[in-house]
Amino acid sequence: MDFVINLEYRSSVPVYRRASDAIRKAIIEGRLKPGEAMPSVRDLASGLQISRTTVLKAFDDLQKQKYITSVAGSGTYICDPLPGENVQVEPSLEQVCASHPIELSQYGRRVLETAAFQRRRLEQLAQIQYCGPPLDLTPLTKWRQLLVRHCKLKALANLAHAREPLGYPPLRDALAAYLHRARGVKYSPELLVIFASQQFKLEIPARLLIDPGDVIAIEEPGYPDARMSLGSHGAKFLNVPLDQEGLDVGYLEKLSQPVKCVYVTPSHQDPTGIVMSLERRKRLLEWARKSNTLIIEDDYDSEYRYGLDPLPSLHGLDQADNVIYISSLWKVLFPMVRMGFLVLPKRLLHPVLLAKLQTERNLPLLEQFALTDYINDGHLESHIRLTASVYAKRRQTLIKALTEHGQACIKLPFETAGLHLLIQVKSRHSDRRLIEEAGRWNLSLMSTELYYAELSEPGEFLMPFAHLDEKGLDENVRRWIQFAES
Amino acid sequence: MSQFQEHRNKEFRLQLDIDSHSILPAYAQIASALRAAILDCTLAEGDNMPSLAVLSKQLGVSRSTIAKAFDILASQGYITISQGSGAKVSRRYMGVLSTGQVSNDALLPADFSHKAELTSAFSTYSQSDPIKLSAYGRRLLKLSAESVYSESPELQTYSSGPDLELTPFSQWKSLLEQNCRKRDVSRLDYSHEPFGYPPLREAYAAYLIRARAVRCSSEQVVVFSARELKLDLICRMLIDPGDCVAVEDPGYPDVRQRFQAYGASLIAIPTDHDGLCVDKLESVHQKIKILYVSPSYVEPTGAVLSLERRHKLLEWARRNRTFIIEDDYASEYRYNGRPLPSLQGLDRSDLVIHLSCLWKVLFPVLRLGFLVIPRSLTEMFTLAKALNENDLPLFDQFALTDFINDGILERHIRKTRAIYARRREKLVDSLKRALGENIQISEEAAGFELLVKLKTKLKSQELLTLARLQKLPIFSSQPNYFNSVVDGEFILPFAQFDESCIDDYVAKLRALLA
Repeated sequence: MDFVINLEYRSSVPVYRRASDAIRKAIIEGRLKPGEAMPSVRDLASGLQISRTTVLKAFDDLQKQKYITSVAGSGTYICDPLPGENVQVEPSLEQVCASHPIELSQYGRRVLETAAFQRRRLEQLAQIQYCGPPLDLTPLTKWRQLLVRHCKLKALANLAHAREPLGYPPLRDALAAYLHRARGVKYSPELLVIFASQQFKLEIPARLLIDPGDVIAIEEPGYPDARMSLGSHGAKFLNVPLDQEGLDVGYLEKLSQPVKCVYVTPSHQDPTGIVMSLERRKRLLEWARKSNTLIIEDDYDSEYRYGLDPLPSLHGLDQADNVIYISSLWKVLFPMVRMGFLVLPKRLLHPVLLAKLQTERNLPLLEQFALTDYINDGHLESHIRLTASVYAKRRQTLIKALTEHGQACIKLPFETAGLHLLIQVKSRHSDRRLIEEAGRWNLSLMSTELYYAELSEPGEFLMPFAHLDEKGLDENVRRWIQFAES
Repeated sequence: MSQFQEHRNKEFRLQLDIDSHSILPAYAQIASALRAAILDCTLAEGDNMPSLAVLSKQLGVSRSTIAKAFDILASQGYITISQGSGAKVSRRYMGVLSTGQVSNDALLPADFSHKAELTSAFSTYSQSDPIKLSAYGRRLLKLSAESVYSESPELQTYSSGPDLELTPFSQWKSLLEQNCRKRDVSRLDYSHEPFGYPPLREAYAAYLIRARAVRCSSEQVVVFSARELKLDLICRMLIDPGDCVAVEDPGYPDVRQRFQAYGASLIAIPTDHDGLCVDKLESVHQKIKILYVSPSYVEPTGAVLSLERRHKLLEWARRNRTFIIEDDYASEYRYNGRPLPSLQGLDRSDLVIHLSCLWKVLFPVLRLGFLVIPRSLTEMFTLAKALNENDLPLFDQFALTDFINDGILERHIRKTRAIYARRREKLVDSLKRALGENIQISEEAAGFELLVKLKTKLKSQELLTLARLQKLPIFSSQPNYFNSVVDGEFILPFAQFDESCIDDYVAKLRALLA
């Protein structure tokens, strides 16, 4: 145990006294806790560069003062309770804050403004278990095997010092190939950038592009976390309505002012689940080309489509180097794999590389190795196939139950992909009561209110189904609807 | 299928020597080689795949191995296997993007060098019509990124890293294995802990309290997935363009860019053998928002901030309401003298932010960084971190928790400290014997490097160039200095030298100087 105390003072006092004073102080301050074992004599002697005899003398001192006690055959312990009261009184947080009010940066002040919204969002997400994949389907055993596969000197020696701020090159290649075949993204490993934390994939483009006051066009309703992240850099939002084919591009075409960029979720609009039509995609890209506007394409929750035709991503269709494609494996491998990635337009690569050098010069090495193998050995796609069949059954059962029992009061307005349904409920009960009651029947609901920048209608909910047990589901849905109708 | 195609596929040879020592099984190597052939269109859309028999003969492996590789490719959608007619390369692009979307320049080999990457990224940037970047982005463009890449890769491995031979790979591996079992599924929850896995923060707080005399509770400990992110968060939250940040001169050069990226104007405060010259702070008349200091090891001199100055510094900070960033770099590796308690532990005004990482201990398997922040900042920093770095590498955090709680960390530091101390001593002896009058070695025994002054007819730059040609690790201390030009001062790394090769290294150095 390494233990540092201060012996550099009052050189007239013998070293053992200074040591015992300092240890006593450490005990009083709580660095060493009552009942804990003392660091060994050997450790203290070598750590403090004093002789063992000196340490033993200091221990003697402390024992006399009843701060420590030695137990035969077991070692030396700190007395519990301590003699006298704990002395040191810390200044309270309020006192400290009052004497030093903290001057945050403008960014910091904007972040503080999100406090209430963040709290609401977290509360709501917790109600639906964050709408992630069910934990019991996490492929831990395989991951474990892959994670330790490369944990050897021989495997790492050449790579250890490589500076790879954009990510481990074979992983960039594996992901680029996967996105190409599964999502129709252009195969371009040199433009693919990996982030250790999936949220950073939006943070980096946001901070590189947005100055306070810049206007971002965003879907209404739309993903609240993106609003918070872009908003933290001072973006102003232009809320663009949706229809059955996705973002209303006609609205953008009529704008007289330019916007800095458009944030859009074409493969699975959050929260509605609408898939943007091919025609609409082309029209959006054409508008972006003409107006020289960047598009941030968030391909979140795009893996599970239940028979809907896959459409190529905007990135794959774009000819004008305008699309920033961002994604993660959140809905597939979270919380086990937390990396995020983006595929850039060529002209943004240089600035992003510079920003990465300032923020994340190295990424977790073993995780990157494991994910590379997980993709290249074919596990990713088989895992998606396997889970898709499980989710499809659960989704089908839920839809059947909702339509059978809820003809009168439940509407499923869109045909949707992903791991949740969007439902509209006609009921005389408040949203809060409906959510509570759903909890009683093992169902989870989250209001979509935070997805709306403008006023939201009550009675609209996200309803995740990935974790639902098919057994008894029908009965639970029936009971809950009975309540909603009552 | 056209005759041409048929001909071509008969001719198709998979260029692959199966590496039996590789960590990847043969079937995975084969799948990856075939995938490359498909991606570069050697095997084109609709082509028949070479048969199992042909490939198994070519590569000298069993048919079932080839079949396994085919299965993988099929699961990834590269090929389709049908009964009777064998395997075919699938139509890619999901039937929508059919023509020429993969341009040739998109097919760079995956292991392109990063220097080349940087250059090519820059040329693409300067050629294309540039995007209007934010003020932050424009500042980045002005900073020189080249300096980061200036060292050649062979020499890079010697700069400041620990000896890989000493990295506790097997212990780390078994901790990862223990922490990634099926029964651990319940630990994989979604609850948002932007500051990191709570048991890890407790373990790390306890370690800092014991070993560095830090005074904190685990609520003040923040875990980051990369070392650079610690400072990034601090800057983002506290610095507006134009704010003043004071740094050490000489000192750690990399942090200057980190502050400049946020538009800070830098003020250099000199350092001497007792660390930062605290008195000089009094003559600065601008308001200093943040002071960055590395009290346990000033780069490159290794000087320790004396206790007297520590108290003075804290008093100055209290009066001026300046946040101090204490970079506790290399505090684990001090070979003489007694380690001083951290600045954070002496502070009573809640103004010190303590920075640390385990880079020197667990490199390269662990890359996490740590902050201990004042209590008054915890709430604000939680909000900021929740916005963009909520998710940290999970199993690294699990494994590190055990690594600390089981006492392995401190044992490992003690063991390696003794080894590095011996290496340093041996190098110092050997240098003194070989170079006598012509070398002056800094007294500070800490860290992984020696600071030396060499008397030689060569100019510093000539010496460095010659050394680089011979792949001899010796570095200039110039980047550590703000404005002053130093001549004849160099950094010699010793951590990675086995004792047996020290004499050889010194002999080469001597030959170079002669």
